[in-house]
Amino acid sequence: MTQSRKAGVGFRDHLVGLAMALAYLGLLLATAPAIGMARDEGVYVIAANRYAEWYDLVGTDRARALEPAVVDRHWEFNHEHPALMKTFFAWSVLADRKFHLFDVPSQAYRLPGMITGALLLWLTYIFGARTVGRQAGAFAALALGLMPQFFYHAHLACFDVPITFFLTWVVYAYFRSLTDARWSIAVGLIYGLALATKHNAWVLPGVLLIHFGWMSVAELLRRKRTGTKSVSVVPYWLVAMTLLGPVVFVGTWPWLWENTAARFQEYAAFHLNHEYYNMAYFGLNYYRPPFPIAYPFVMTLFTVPLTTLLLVAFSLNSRAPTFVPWPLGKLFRPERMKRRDILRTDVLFVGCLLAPLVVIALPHTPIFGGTKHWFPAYPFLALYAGWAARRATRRVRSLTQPYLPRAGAALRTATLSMLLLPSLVETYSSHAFGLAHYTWGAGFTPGAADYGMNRQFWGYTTGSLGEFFRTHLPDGGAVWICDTMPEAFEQLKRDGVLSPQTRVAWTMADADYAIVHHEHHFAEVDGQLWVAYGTTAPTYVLTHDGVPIISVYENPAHRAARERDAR
Amino acid sequence: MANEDSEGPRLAERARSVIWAIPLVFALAEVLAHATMASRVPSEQDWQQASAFIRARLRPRDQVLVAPSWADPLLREHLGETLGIERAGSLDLESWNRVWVVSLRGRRPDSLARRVPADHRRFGELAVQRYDLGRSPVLFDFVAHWTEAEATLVEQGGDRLCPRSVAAPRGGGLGQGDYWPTDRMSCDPQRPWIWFAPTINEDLDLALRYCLFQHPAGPEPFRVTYRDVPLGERLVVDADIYYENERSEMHGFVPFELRVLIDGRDVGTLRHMDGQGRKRMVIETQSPSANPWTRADVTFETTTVDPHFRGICWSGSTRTAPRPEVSP
Repeated sequence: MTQSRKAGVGFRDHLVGLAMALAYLGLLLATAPAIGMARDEGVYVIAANRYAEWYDLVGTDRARALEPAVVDRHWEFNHEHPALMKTFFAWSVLADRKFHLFDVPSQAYRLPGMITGALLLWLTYIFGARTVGRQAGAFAALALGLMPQFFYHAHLACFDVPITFFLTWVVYAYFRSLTDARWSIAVGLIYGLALATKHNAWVLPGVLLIHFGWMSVAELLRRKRTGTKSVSVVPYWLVAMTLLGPVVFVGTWPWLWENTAARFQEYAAFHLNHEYYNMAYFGLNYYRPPFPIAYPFVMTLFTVPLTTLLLVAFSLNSRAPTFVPWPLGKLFRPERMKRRDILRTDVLFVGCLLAPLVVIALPHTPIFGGTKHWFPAYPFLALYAGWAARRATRRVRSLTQPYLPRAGAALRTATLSMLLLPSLVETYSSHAFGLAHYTWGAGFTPGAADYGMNRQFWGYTTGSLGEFFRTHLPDGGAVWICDTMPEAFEQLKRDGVLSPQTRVAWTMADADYAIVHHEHHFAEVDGQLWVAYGTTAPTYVLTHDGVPIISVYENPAHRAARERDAR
Repeated sequence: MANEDSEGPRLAERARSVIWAIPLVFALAEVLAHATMASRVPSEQDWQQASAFIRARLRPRDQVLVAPSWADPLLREHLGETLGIERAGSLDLESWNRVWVVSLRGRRPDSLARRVPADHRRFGELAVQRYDLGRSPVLFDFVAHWTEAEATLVEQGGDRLCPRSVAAPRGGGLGQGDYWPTDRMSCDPQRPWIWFAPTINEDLDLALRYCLFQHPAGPEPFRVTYRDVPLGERLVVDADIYYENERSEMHGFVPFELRVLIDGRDVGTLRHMDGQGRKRMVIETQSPSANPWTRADVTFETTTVDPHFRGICWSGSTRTAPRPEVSP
């Protein structure tokens, strides 16, 4: 796993990466309409619309647009998150308004997020091609894109896949800067984009510093031994990060242009003192710290295809000597220590893999977001899976060589395809219930329900009730929407999922239908509806793999009134 | 000898190659496991047949459960109105003579783990079992008879009657707590939260319980009296408040009390602190040799030093001797 060994990555590789990215983007665009808008997306849609108004104003009256009060009016909303992705959402919406790009309006908001997901596959391939080989890189990109929960989040107008892309890009640029100082400028600029995407970026410099320190000590010892210089031990990248990162961060966020220090403090304080939400885990509803340390590790085990994780385990076992201190590696696995990687790539990769998980494992870190909060670990997880997949193809080839001497390419393709098949099957099966989907590690979705794991959040599954409501409320009506955000519900109407006359009911008594998103702590809503409607029988239960996702109750008083009117 | 020397490393290399083929076998197993899981999801037809079978045989003192419990919404969807709020919000199996269990993937409720089913049928991927528990020891269920009760608010020593009336419903939504039904007994327009009626309470275990809401007014009791109640041998009462008010220490651990009086005689007080969850009190009403149908007036009084966020919801019944335990 060294850069020098995988030299020659060039234009053709980028064509391969581009092809993968375009194919994935096409897949995301084709499958997005089936996914209802999630709670947080609703907030970002509002923010993007305000940003879009501001850009319109910039086009017509630039001086006025730059007045602090006007900037605040458009940029203050949702200032707990930086502006970069919401700005992209706004630009995408403006482009859609001008060029009528999409039949489904929510696609315009979601496109930038999807593009980052597609670019991440490209980047993963290139990073893999440079470090673990082309086959492994291609496998890693596909394995990442076919992680069911990643696939779900890659559709959204949110920040979790974008920040995964930007953080991986920072790591890539940093990795390149170790052998080419010019890349340091890119590190600074891309890190600024990461900072401007989500606060996960705060952790990354620590990981890079540990790697750089490790590599530098080894380099200095080596220089002492051999008298030759291999890599620079001057952290130009850190200088660039420190100088350029904040400039990009503030520059892309007009809300910070006034009272910068105070507003940054407010932004940081929001995340450092983030409130705690409910999260079900092994039958318990956690709502305040301490949270279980094993949570991110168990959830990874339960949501990433198990074959991918087995490949990662093979890979880490095989490569362990390369990311432990040199004497230890030499002591236990001398055969693996013959060729030293001067860049200590495995130390970097293992650090990037573990850091996001460890941050969430801290007992006082809120765990409300499920797996998305440690997505930045997954490209590196996928790269290790890719390395093992390549190794497996070689081993299978050597086993079958005496019997099938001419079947090399076919065997390689068959082996890699077989190793990816569980990911493909599970991702296909998970759509459009990505957050509810669990893999074999949990016994799939029914097994996870047995364990009492979280089934969903964000109320996004309401989108899967489109057909039910179009059938039962063809002329519109009132729906009590439980965990769905009103703006997300409105978007379902704009997208044609619901009849335009369908509206939000603010009380159960006023609704024609009421829904319950099945999460542990939403049980009370079920009970409230039993009392409100005098029945315990839902009219319809939406399921995924036989597990209830949403119950729909019909208000008997409204049904009686409709029947009376019909007579 | 030379051959033997080269055979060893070759075998070791071959063994290493075989180990690296494990992920391939694993991938195949994962795909097959997924297909198996998908094939074991009960179909709509399975649910319809199983529920029709139960519906045709259901008696008033029969309970219906599903295992695993997460399938409960599907059970309620298919059994429709048959199930009813009394069954859906039932606290335990004491009220029931028989239990029907709809079982997915061979699961059954923990509460019946030691019992043998009296009947077992299969409907595709669903199994239906019937467990005969024997005659229920419950003589009088206070929740079921709530309309026969008389609710009074004690104010400065005097009693104000709280008549049953139809009022506007209230509540609904996450964090909103127990829903206010339209049909309830209330008496103080200034304090509309003082009412008595059955509703559903979510307890600290996030379980839904059908119970009687009797919000205390303060240190003076909010009183509910049932006339001519058969006393049996025991009076069992369970009480709790809405879980969020309890878990979040919304009002600083203020306890509430539920006092029980039989013919005006104080027979027991359930004192509840935040964090205790659903709490049970068992009162011996008579000696086991007495006539279980002996009748008396039973009164329940709720009090607290500060009534904020103290919406007590309780359920109770008088019972004869418990049914014999089932041996493992």
